Amino acid sequence: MNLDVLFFGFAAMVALPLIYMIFTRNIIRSVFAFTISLLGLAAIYVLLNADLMAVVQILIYAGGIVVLLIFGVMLTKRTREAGVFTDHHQVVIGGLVFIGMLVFLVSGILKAGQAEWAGVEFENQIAKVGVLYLTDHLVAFELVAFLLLVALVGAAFLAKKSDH
Amino acid sequence: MAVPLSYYLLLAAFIFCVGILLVLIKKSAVFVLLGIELMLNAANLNLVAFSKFDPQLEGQVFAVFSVVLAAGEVAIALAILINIYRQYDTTSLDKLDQLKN
Amino acid sequence: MDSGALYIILLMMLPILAAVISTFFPARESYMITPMFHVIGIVSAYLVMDYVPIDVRWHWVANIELGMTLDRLNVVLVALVYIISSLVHLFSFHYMKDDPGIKRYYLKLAFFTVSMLGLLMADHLVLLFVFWELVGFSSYLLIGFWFKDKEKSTSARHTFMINRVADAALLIGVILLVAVFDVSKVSDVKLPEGGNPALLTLAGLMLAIGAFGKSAQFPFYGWLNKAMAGPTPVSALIHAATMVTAGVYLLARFQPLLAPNVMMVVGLVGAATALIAGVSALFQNDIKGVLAYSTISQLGYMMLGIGVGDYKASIFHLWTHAFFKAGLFLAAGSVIHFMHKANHGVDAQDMRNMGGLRKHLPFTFVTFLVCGAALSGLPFTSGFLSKEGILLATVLWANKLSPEQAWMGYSIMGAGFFAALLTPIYVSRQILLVFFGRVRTVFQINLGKKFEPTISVIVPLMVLVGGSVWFSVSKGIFDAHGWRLHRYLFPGRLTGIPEDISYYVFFASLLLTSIGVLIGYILFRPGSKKVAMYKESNILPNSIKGFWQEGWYVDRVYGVLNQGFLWTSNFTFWVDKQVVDKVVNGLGVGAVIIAKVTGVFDKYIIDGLVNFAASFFSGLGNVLKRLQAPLVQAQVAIAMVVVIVFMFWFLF
Repeated sequence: MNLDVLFFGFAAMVALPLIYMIFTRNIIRSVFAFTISLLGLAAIYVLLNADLMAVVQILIYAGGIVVLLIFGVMLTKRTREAGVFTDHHQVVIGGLVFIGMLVFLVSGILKAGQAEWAGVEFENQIAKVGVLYLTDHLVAFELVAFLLLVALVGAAFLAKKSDH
Repeated sequence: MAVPLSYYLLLAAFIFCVGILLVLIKKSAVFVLLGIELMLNAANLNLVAFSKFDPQLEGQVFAVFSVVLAAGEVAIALAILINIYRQYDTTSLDKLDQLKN
Repeated sequence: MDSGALYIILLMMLPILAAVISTFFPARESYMITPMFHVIGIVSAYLVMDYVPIDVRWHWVANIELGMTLDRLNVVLVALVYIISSLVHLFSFHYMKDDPGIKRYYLKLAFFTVSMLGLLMADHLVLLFVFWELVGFSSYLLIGFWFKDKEKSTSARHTFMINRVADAALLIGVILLVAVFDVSKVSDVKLPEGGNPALLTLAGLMLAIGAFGKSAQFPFYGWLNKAMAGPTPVSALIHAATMVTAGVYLLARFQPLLAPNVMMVVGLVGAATALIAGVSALFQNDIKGVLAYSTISQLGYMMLGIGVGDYKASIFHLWTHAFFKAGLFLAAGSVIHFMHKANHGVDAQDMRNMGGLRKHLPFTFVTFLVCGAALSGLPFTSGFLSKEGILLATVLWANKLSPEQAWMGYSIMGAGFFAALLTPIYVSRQILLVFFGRVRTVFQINLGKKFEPTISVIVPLMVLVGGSVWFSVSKGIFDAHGWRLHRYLFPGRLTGIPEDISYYVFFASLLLTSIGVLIGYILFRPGSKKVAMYKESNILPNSIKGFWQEGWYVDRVYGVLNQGFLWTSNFTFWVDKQVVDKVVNGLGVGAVIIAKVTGVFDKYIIDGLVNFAASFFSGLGNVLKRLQAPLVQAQVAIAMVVVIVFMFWFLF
């Protein structure tokens, strides 16, 4: 099986929904397009042998963040029709920035030349990453956990309806 | 596995630029959040791609942290968004122009 | 502060301490404690004699380190100042008893004494100059003590101004030595290595001129006679024993620096002054005038001693002269005080009103006799010894000169001997005119003998008499180098003095003095023609005698110089008014015109530019404020644009 084909397929799966997102004015659809794009990215992570990252991507992004975003849309739109649509503005300057950034990054990447994968082992790395989390990066791991807790409490507090 | 590193990087660059574009042109705050998530994803892709060269897998480790933080960030951002909506009755960023004065 | 510094400061400040303390007491008798403090000073100086040198240094500005020191030479002179000053303080109590300004008097006197002590102890040329000026200033205060009398305050100014002229020269010398030759230590003067010898000669000459001014030498001697306007005890302290000897002290210290030519000048000026002042003293009618000119003459001797290279003899003469001249002045003060009390109508200082006072003032008479004998250089007195020392040194010096200079050496020597002949003549004239014969005026009040014997008169006079006879200063009666302090001051061995020359000088001075006394007696003995006519005698201003009486018209020379300065300044004033002022006015008008032009320029060009700049930036601000967009996304867009621009800028 030619993995190149797989890569280009998944890349298209990532890129095309994004292009759709640029042009659509419907937030709900764009969120779903975003979900597709995320799934494509997860597949690309698998291609890169980053299985844990792929799983996390699907769990947190596709499963968590997307739901959060949809709830956000729902909670802030009163009318059924107008609520999910949005407008574009400063299109020209946005387009210029988009093109300028793209040109800069692409030219930078192309200029940097090719790196060879030679000598790099491609194997399942979940076990290794798990050990790393609980040894070398234990402090960061715990801190992130704590941070998530704080973020949870903070978000609940902020979203709570005020008394008045 | 013949797809070179630069392809991944190019894809990440594209995702990143789309993220910027969404942040700049969409009036909806939810869209802007989407754009920010895209930019984070672009960075994650870069990290994972580069961590191929790293036997210590620092890139992957960092990318997972980044994902987790992004989740937290979205939660907080949405909470703020809801508050803003309660306050101003809109989430359209072009209406939130108190900075003008 | 170490004990040495404390000691020096205490030793210097005792007089002013005493005066200030006694000022706080209302009673006049409190001033009797000032001599006691001086006695402490004398004892301190005596006790410290074996512990010298004491050195105190402190940093002043830049790299100048000031210092005060007590070494063998100045500890002796400090003791001398204390001795004379204590006696003068004591005597002043009697003399100034009824004066309303007695507090002022004692404070000024203490101020002077402190300045003099500072001058002696200063161990840096700059510091020495400071005290030098303080001494001059405090003496000005004391001379002008009765400043309500216009003539006296004028005399004080006169004195001060002449001193300033000489001090300017001294200042030049000090600057030259300190700045160019780096010679600043007074107690240890060494010939600087290298340097321009002509400049060094100039510096020495300037020092010598400064010394001439303070020590009343030719051509500055005119001020000393004027300085007699001060109270007589002041004259005894300042113009006999201390201040006028500052010049001698200075040159004695700096003798190693003086070039041979400068030494010759010093000797010449000293001898000339001795002679000039000796002649002038013969024609004075003022009792203090005689003493003033005799002082000038004796200072001339000291300068002569320095000029011929024997400053030891000069210091010896300084010591003895301080005693006998202070004695003479205090005795004269006593006479004046008596005359003043006895007869208010006449000039209390004019000898024409005196005569026969020995019956009224026996102690004063004895003092005058003994001290006068010492001044004349009669045997068995201190003056004989010290004067003989200087004359001996002069003879030895003249003998050593090269043939080309010999004539000058011998004429200097001749002048010295001739002045030695003149001295006994005017001394005996004065004694005969004041104390012998009949009184030439009428006393309104008969004070009898009760006037004199208060302790504050007798003690000073007797001490000074004691200091004027030979046994107080020397072991040998006729030994010119037998000064008791000689060995202490000059530890080196005496160089051999040819015995024959020593004898010649001894007999010559003995002979001259005797002849002088004889001439004086013949001319002014009671009953002689001169004395009989003396009451009415009046020297015409423009006669040859008037010339001598007025000190060889030196004051007139000053007057002429002054007139010249006046004319010069009038001329420069005229130039100033006619030329400089017009130029300045022209410049002013020009400046106004330029100002108008620049005003216009300012208004239309500078202001225009400024306004343009303001409006330009205001417009720019209006444009730029759009960048400060109200919308968050617009700001993000701007930030991104900038980021991209910078990225391209740096990376490509």
